[in-house]
Amino acid sequence: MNFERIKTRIYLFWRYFTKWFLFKLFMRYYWIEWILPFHVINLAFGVLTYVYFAQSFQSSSAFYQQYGGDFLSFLILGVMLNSLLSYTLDAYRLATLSLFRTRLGSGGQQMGVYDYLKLSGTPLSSHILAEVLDGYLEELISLLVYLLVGLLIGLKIQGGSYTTAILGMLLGLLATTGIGLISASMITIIGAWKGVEPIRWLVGLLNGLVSGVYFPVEVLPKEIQDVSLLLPQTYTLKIVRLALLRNFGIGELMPEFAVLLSMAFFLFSIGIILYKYSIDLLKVKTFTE
Amino acid sequence: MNLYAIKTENLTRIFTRYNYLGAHVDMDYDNNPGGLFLSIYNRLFNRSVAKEKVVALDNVNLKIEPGKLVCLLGPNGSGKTTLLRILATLLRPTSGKAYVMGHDIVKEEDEIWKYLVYIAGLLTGGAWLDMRLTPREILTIQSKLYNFPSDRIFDALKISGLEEVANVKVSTFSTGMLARLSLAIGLLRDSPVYLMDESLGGISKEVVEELYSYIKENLIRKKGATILYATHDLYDAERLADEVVLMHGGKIVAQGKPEDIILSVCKDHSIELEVLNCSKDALRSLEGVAHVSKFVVSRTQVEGTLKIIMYTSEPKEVLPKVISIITEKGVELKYIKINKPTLEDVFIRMFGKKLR
Repeated sequence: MNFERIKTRIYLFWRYFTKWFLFKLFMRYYWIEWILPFHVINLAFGVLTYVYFAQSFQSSSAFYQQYGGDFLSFLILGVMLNSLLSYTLDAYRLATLSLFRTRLGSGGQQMGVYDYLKLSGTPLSSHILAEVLDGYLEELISLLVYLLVGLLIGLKIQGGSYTTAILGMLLGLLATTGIGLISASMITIIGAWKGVEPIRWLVGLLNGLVSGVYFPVEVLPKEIQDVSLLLPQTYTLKIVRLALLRNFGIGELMPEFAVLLSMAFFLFSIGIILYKYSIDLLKVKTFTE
Repeated sequence: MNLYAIKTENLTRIFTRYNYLGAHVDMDYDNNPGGLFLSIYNRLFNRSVAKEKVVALDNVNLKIEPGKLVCLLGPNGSGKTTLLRILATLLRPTSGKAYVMGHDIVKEEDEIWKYLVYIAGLLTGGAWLDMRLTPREILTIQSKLYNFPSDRIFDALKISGLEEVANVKVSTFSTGMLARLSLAIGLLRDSPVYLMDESLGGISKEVVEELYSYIKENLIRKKGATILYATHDLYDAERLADEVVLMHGGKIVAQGKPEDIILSVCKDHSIELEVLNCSKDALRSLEGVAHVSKFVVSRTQVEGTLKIIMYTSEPKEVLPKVISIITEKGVELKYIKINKPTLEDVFIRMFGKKLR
């Protein structure tokens, strides 16, 4: 690929990415008007449920001591991170499907975003990434709501190691992006474009029970704890919680960081390879073959 | 070596069609027979999903020189759309090669868009039309995405006859107006090759005439562009196309100038007449005229009136003889005309049915 070609591709990417992202941003007005207020109330009520849930425990369990002893802070951080990581698992699959959901036509004549991008020479990645980023914006708003409501009702993050937490979160996002890309590639590889995608489903199923979103992993029986070691979410939650609630630094969390880094590298690489293959396969197979 | 605007070599596209529980499932998006879970279910309950191979394109060899309007004709399912979608890189061929302005559509997939514009018909072109916007806004967005000068928007509105409704929301448009706007979006771009997939369907005859004039004058004559237009309109194809390509069952069955194809398939003209009070003797005389290959008589709804069609390769010799017999035998003539064979006749002759 020569320099001019790369330049053109970058230009085409950027042209569509900015325009589509700004368009989506502009179209958020309906979301702000019709969804956000209800969303905020839902989240606030959800957090309040956790508050009373936490009060019923009174932080009495010894399991919480290693996380600072405050169940509410433990829980709210878990729910916030879980929301972000769960979106990451879905983001690429949903963005890929959005290439085709807008199709119009009949029989052999079908046109949609995918065709539009191809006919204008625009890299598909510009649409995918704009869609993903738009979803992250929505997630960011949810996180802020969680944080604000949490702070109002007693979330305590004082003197935490923010750098460690952010680094852990970024590695967690990279690893779950890898799973998300693998999940997205299943659209064409196994034809999972309608209903449940099995890989995402399995990870989501295990995540709720074993990764420690709502309670410490240590509560679980040994065999289930072993399963939790397979999920990047487990390490991400542990790193962020210990960094923010107990001020642990990178050095103290080195074993978790090492595993998470390996997972991020491995899963992201596999994800990219499979996703690229699946997009290529799409041109050969079409959706229905 | 000639540079063809479009060239294909043994281009083949095979789709997989599923025969699920005895019912055929079409190849479109909503009828997918299912993924992993359904596959497991089928295996568990011994339900078979038979896969069939559907040959949408079968070793298509096509050469189109630059600067021509070529009409792609064929019945539904003959492979026209598949061919256009492959040339536009929206679909990959199963085997064979295709080139647009000398560029390989597979090897140079990311570059092909520079050399062609694909104009979908109303059926699919609606994908470009945001019903919340006006034609001017839609064309402005397109011009920004494709980098056209803004004066092209005015041109596009003018040629599509939408100047007066340029600032009216598209949601209020009629079918014809939507079709015109869909076409205008495609014509905004300069390109050496235009692929049109039934793009003029749903537009009134007068506007179609204007659009044809624009295409021939501005795109073909002035800019030397090549148009490959898939259509069902045989009348327009015969009148306006430099060449026609006839497809059937995924194959090209004929390619050439419309008149050459017509002559090669249907040599005979038909002399059609309606007569009143035609005696048996007169009828026998007419039937006995030399050079008539086929003589067809039918009764019309008006009592005593017969419709006669005489097929001949020598209409100039046969016509005076027919008139002479009618005059001599005292037959009352309602009308008489010579019909040249048309593409419609070619289709009837080749496939045994009209093109629909």
